[in-house]
Amino acid sequence: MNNNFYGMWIGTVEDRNDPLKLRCRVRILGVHPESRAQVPTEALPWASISCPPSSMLSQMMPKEGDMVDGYFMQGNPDFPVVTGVIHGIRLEDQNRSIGFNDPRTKAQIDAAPKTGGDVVYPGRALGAPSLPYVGLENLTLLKQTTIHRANQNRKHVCDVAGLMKRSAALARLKFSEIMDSIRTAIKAVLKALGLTPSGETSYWIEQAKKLARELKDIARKISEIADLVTVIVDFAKRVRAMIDFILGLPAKLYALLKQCLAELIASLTSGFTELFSLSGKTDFSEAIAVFNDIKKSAGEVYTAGLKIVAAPVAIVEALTTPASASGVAAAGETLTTYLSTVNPTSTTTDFTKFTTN
Amino acid sequence: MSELNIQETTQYRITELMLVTKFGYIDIKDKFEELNIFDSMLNQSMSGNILIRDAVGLSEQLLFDGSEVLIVKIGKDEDELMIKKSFRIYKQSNRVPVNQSSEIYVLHFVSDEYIFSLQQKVQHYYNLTYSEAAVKIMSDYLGIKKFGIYSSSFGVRNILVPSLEPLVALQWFATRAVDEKQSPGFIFFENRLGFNFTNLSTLFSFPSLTRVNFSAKNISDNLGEEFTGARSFEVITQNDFVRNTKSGVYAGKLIAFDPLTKTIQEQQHTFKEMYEGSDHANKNPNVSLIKNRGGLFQTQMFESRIVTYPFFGNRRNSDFIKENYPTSVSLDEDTENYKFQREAIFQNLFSKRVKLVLPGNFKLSSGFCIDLDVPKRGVLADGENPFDSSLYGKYLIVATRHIIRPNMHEVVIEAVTDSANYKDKNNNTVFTSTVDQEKAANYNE
Repeated sequence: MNNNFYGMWIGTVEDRNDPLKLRCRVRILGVHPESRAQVPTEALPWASISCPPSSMLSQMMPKEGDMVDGYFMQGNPDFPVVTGVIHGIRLEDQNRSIGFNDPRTKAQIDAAPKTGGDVVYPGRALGAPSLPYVGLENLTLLKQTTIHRANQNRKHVCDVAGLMKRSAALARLKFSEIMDSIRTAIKAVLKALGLTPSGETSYWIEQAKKLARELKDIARKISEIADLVTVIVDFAKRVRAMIDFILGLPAKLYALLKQCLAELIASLTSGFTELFSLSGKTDFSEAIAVFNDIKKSAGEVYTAGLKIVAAPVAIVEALTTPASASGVAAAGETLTTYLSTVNPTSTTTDFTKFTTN
Repeated sequence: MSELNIQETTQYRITELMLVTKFGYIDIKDKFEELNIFDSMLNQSMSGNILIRDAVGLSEQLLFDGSEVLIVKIGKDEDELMIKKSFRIYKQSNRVPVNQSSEIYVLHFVSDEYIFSLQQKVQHYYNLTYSEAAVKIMSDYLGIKKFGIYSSSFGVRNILVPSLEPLVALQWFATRAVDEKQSPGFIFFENRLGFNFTNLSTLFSFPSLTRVNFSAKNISDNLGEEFTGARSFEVITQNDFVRNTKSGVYAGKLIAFDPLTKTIQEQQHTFKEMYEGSDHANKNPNVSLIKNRGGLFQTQMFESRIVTYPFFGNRRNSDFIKENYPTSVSLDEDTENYKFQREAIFQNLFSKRVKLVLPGNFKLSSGFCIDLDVPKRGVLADGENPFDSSLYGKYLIVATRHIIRPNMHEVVIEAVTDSANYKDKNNNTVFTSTVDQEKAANYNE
């Protein structure tokens, strides 16, 4: 009698729509066939999820197509338990016609619950699912924040500070590069303007081409910076929403998070300050002066660049000022105004960039 | 059996004994020294071996590469006393030279279904009872047309066979199937009838094939009586109290748990409940009650064996599950009905096992019952029951070995029973320990 159902197995999740909101169906290598005609997804046993006890993310349900590992409880193949998701790099598209692949259609994938949905189970009532507290639908962030609903103690909200710092450092690096490019461009333009025309058409054409290349490169880099600014704006929006959230909390919880809030604001201020602290200075005069220089030579560059400088200034002012609910509201208005004028279409935060879908 | 035309009880007739090879049919009637054919309730299929004395270089010519088939048609003189079957030769033993011109070796063979089964895996979903699914596997995967004894199991289940060879899957089914009384006594095996998927109650319900006598030999003219006379008898195992206790024959408990409903349920099992779950060969149970120094019988000691296993039973009690997933509760496995009980039932069945040698009789095959008239030892008083009450009665054949040599045919049988016919002097069917025994157990103190 082959009783080889002890030990770990590897499989692929094919269904997480458990009517009980707790389990998923897994097609297990070496146990279940690839053919869905032979064993349809609906015939696979439901696998319970075994989570590490201390992880916030531990209560996340693996999704269709995820490769998971697990074991059979007491060697009973009717009782699989998933212990982990194995991440990797997919080389081929999912083939939904055979097993060990995500069986959903595109419409089903689009309709599947995503982060940001509503909480389904309100509490721990008897007879209703208790742990995990968060079913699939519950895997959401509190509105416009990075606070996970599963995070019952509201820990780790300062994670955003680390992300801010990293992004600011990256932006600073890029900004330094662009400033070097801008200076080079200005020198080229001035050099060109300082020369007396000799009638040599070819020379001017060559200079014009060179200038065009430089400006094109500058425009590209400014575009990159603009993207980064959008990210920063997103962070700022979250911080602002978190201020809303925190101010709305009971006093006890507010006290608990006060330190967190302070660090966030400090990080934000620091991030923007570092971003523009070229040549060791902490004001933006040099940058603005540089852009004024550019204005003389290239209007297009000026327009894009000025936005970059103006936007963060407004945000920092808006966010460092408030100390009360009315202050927050004012900051929010400043922010909203800025976002609507600068780049209205890019202000929607894509939370999937920061959380597991 | 008086209608037999044979002159001696061990006589037989070989109609066919042939190897079918790439080179055609080769008759080996006059080349074998001994042919053994085995069947057992504990094995998936029949098997055997044949000792060949080869003086014609057969082995060199044929290679024996696993493609050879052995056709056997051997019998007495009735159809039912005949075995007619083909086997696959799967192994040749060491070739031992006898002299310069001959050698001996053993060819091992097994049912073709076994080889076919080894070459496949069942990964299939069935929404059937286990017995119905067993028939599907036998026909769909093994091409079996000749079914033996079949008993229906209880309850449609979601059966997902987890990549098992077909014959292993059938045995796996047997370990999980329960009958209408929720008794898990199912077995799957091959005997002379074919492949059987049945339970102990069904096998015990059949009348005995024959009554085996232990009379003195060569004093009767009745060939039939000689034919059913035991040539040898041996009790292999009988009532191992330690092993029975460890296996939960007397009592034990299942700690069943279900993480989904967060329930842990302790189920106590007693000998009485498990014994009464199925039919038996004889009238009385084979277990007597022995009180321990704690004042309890062994059937009350539930920590003798503890099994921990997941179960689904409590899901039927969850309103949430019934409301959100109503179809699941009726099709879930009922592990609480077999996980503990099965081992205890079979340990008790095998606790009394005897071995007999009888004149060759192809009717005798595993899964059939026989009556043993085991005589009492010693001198009988007038009117005393001549049978040994601890041994005589109905037994279930669990294994046979047919030994066929050029000059004789014998069958070695292993038979078991989980019941008896004895009574104590007060006519009680279940014995209990006496005060003297209880005192004796505490003698050292």
